[in-house]
Amino acid sequence: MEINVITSDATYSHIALVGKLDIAGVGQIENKFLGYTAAGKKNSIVDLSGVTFLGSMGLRILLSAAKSLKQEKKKLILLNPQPLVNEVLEASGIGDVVAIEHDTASAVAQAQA
Amino acid sequence: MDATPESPTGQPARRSRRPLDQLFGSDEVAATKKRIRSALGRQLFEYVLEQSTDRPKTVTGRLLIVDHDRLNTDILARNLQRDGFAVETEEAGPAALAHLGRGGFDMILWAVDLPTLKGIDMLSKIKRDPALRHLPVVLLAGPQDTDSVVAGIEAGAEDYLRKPFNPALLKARIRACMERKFLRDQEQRLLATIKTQQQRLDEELKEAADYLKSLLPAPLSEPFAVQWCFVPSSELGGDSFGYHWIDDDHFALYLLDVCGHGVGAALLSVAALNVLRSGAMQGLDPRSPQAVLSAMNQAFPMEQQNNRYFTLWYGVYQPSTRKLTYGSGGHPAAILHQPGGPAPKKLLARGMMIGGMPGSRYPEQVCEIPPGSRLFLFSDGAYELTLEDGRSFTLDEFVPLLGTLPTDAPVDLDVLLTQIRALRHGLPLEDDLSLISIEFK
Repeated sequence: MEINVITSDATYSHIALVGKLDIAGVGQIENKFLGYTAAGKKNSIVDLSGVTFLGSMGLRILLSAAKSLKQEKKKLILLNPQPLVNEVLEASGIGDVVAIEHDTASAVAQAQA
Repeated sequence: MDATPESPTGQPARRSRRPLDQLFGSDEVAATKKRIRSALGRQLFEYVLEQSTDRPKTVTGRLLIVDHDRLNTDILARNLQRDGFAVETEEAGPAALAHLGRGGFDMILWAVDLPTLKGIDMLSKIKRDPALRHLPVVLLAGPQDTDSVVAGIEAGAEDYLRKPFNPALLKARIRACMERKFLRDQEQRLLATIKTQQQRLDEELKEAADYLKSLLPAPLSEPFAVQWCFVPSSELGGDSFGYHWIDDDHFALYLLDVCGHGVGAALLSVAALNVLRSGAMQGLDPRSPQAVLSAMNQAFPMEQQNNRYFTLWYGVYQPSTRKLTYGSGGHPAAILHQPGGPAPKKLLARGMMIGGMPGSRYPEQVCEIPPGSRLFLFSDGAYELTLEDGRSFTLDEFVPLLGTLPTDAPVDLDVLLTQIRALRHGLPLEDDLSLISIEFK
């Protein structure tokens, strides 16, 4: 599991996750992930195109980050999930708290708004 | 590796040896070198010994000296007593074994008796005795007893000393030997503590797992067959499930999956299951999935559950109308196989994971159950499997697997479980697996 930082400026952060978000994967990136999203207190884009699996512990950190940001009136935007991951996101009902975007430009526009 | 002269292959050494060999003959050169080396080694050893005997002498212990030579024994004993060791002496033979049997010794100094090798015989006995085998034995050998020393070391002696003894060397060796013994004793005690604790933990985990299993319902055969299988991925799982009649015309069926697995997940799972089993939610209609899911969401916010949430599928079947009303908090769809071959139906309802977000809504769905239908409710551990090629198995691949069960015989979940396990090619399952089947009449 890897985290790549694409943008991290005053207005928003944009990171990409790569690998399997299962229990082991989450363990490797949890602190760093929450550092770039929840702790940053700014709109955050998380590119999921490199995530091949999203398990319940993976959903948990996405939800934790989304809820922390929501308290700060900031957004978590999930970008380009693969079809299988998208299915898990849809079934989880997490769509109530996060935006799921399939277009980078519009995700960035939302994050900068 | 590249065998250049600079490389550490021994080539330069061989080259420089040649002129000497030519002058003196290789055997003589080798013998001289050996002498120099051993002289250097001895000086170095004696220096280290001197340094080490200057240290505060903290290591003491209880010794048994076994020797038929009384004079030698007495001198040795007095010498060691002056250094703080507790020393007892004994004649060789069975008396020595009996003496050792009284316990409390830290090491043995054992004189080897040539030519009978009786000492060696006793040594073997000590090393076969579970209560004594850990005691280090240092052989006291005569100046020429090479054979007996070899036999003694082979029989388990730790070290040997040749008579007459160099007192400093004797004490250093005894101390080194005892230090090793004390470390081993400490290791043994730690190991025993770890073993006891592990055993206690295993027993407690087993008890907890038995408790969780005792909460799971018995299979039903009337008015429809309900079966289940439950395979936790570790001792304790985060999955749990149940079904019961709310009244004569309402049958509740539910399965929950706490994120993660292990003890933490199991505790929340059991807490939530007990609420569902007893229907103990004040002023709540357990016949309404929407109401149950909302109430569970309110009762178990993840912030108050060590940041754990769970997914829950909750359905109520009404035989009089043949209608199944269901709702889901982030749980994967249940699958309905209908007779006569229409495509299997995914009973999926939208809703946030339970505890995920306060105030989430859980809209319910209604589905007609034709006679002869089969309903499968399961946790994601049933299909989220990593295949041999690293790819993830999916729900869409799992659903047809459910359809391969013969329709002219009762559902056999073991067959299904075998198929699921086969996908893992002998590797253990990664997550808890629960699966319930209902065969409607």
